[in-house]
Parts: sequence; structure tokens; C-alpha cells
Amino acid sequence: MLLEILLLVGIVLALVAIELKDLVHSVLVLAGLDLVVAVIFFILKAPDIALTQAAVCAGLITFLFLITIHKTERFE
Amino acid sequence: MDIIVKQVTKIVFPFIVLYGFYIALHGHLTPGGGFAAGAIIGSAFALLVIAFDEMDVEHKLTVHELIDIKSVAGFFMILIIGKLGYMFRNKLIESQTLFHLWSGGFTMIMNLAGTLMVSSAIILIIYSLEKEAWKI
Amino acid sequence: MKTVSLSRRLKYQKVIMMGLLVIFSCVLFYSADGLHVFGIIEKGSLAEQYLNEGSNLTGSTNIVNSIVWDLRGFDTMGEEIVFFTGALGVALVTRRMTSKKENVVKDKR
Repeated sequence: MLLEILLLVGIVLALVAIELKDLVHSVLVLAGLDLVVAVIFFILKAPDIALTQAAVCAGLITFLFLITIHKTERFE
Repeated sequence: MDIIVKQVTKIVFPFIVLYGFYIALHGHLTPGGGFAAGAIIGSAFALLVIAFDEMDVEHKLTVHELIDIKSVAGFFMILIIGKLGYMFRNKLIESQTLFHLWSGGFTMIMNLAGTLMVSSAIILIIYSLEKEAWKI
Repeated sequence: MKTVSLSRRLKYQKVIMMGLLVIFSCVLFYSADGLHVFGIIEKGSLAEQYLNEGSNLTGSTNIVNSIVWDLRGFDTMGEEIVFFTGALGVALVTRRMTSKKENVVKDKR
């Protein structure tokens, strides 16, 4: 039951991340989506993949997106 | 950035690096391993670069050549260890006991080499992207 | 030979791509039927052998990590080479193109 709820929350977060106009807010919502995916991996009994997902996708990918947004434009 | 972020980074940064090395050393007993530990250490340095200016960080960690040398050393460590593994493998495993820290045979050493290489590759990417003072 | 106008050609291409997409998705769904059931270990498979003999074979109790870094260590080494080559490519493209004297002047400021 928890797995289905988390999958629905993930779909909603992905749609919100597409529709937002401020790209910085969109990147932060995307980091939240990655944390939800990490929890899903933990429920499916793969804790090492969950650890790597939380470290890479919520930490480094957000950092690279923020640098890219700073070097181009913030609003689409 | 703010003074709050700077002070919190000063306190938290050694603990994040310590946690990364803990995951690398216990990679054969608990979930984790080389990739996760390298990613955690790399993201600690990303936090350092975000909080302070580029010039402050560059005075602490002097040159880029050091980072290059470290990552190349990790690469050659993996090559040499992988070659030596087939000679000393059985003796190493016989000298160890299961469920202790000194166990794991070759997994432990390969975890350390992989951690060195992944973390220095991530640090290399971060410091080469971070060339101008930037604020968000 | 009769020449076909551009809009008609685009329409043909769209129809052909839709047909290819349907065929490809049919192949994917057909092959997804043959996957293993989640969480069940088949008898006589490689996974069962690793789970039974893995800790004696490699000396570590984390089976996933011992497979990735010890039993399949050569593949992991190739993966590391790919990762490190990507990092070197980023560093080569975005590296600062100044000499050392200018760096010293910039640092003193």
C-alpha cells in the first residue's frame, strides 16, 4: 500500500517539476522526486542502491543543475 | 552565501567526510560500498564550494595537480590490485574471520581504491565547473 | 517517376514510425513476460550458488558488494574507467586557460 502511494507521489512531483516556470523551484522539486525514488528502493530491499541514489541524485545532480541555471537563464 | 550556511558548513563538513570513510571501510559488512562512499565525499566538497567563495577554498586546497595525481593513483591502484588479487587471494581469506572488521578479503581494498577514484573524479568535475564567483 | 511532395512524405514517415513503435512495444511486452518472478530464487541458477557459497568464496558477508567488487571486479574496473574518462573530459573542456603568473596575481587580490 505504501509503495503505491509513493509511486503516485512521484508521478505528481514529476508533473509539478515539468509545469513550474521558475527553474530553481523545479530543480528543488526534482530533488524531492529523487528522495521519493530512494525510499522506494529501500522498500524494495535494495538499501545500497537507495544510498547511492540519495547521494548522487539529491546532492550532485542538484548542484550541477544549479550551476547550469546560473550560467544561462532562470525563468523559461 | 549567508553566515548561517558558512558556520553550519564549518561544523558539519568533517562529519560528512568521516561518514563517507566509514561507509567505505564497512562496505563488506553493511550496505554501501565504493560508489556510495565516493559520492558522499564528493558532495561534501560540493557543499564546501557552495558555502564559501572559490578563492577561499582554493587557498585551503592548493593546486589542481594534486587532485589529478590522486585520481590517477586510484586508477592504477585498481589495476595493480586486480592483477595481484589472483596470487594472494586464498592466503588473505584464510587469515580472516567472518563478521569481523578484518574480513572481506579483496572487497575491502577494492572498496578503498574505488572510493578514492570516484570521489576524486567528482571533485575534479566540481572544481573545473566552478570557475567564476556565483550567487543564487 | 512521380515526385512526392514534402507534406505527403512527412505523413508517410509518421505512419511508418507509428507502425514501428507498435511493433517495438509488442516485442518489449512479449519479452517482459519471460522475466523472473520478483523475490523468488530458482533452483540451479547462478544466484542460488552465489547466495550459498559467496561468503566462503570471497570472505565478505555483504553479497552484493562482494559480487560487484570482487567476483565481477573486472567489469567494475571498466565502469570506473568510463566514469573517470567522463570527468577528465569535463575538466579538459572547462579548465581555466591562463598561465601560472596570472593565477598568482589573481590570488593576491
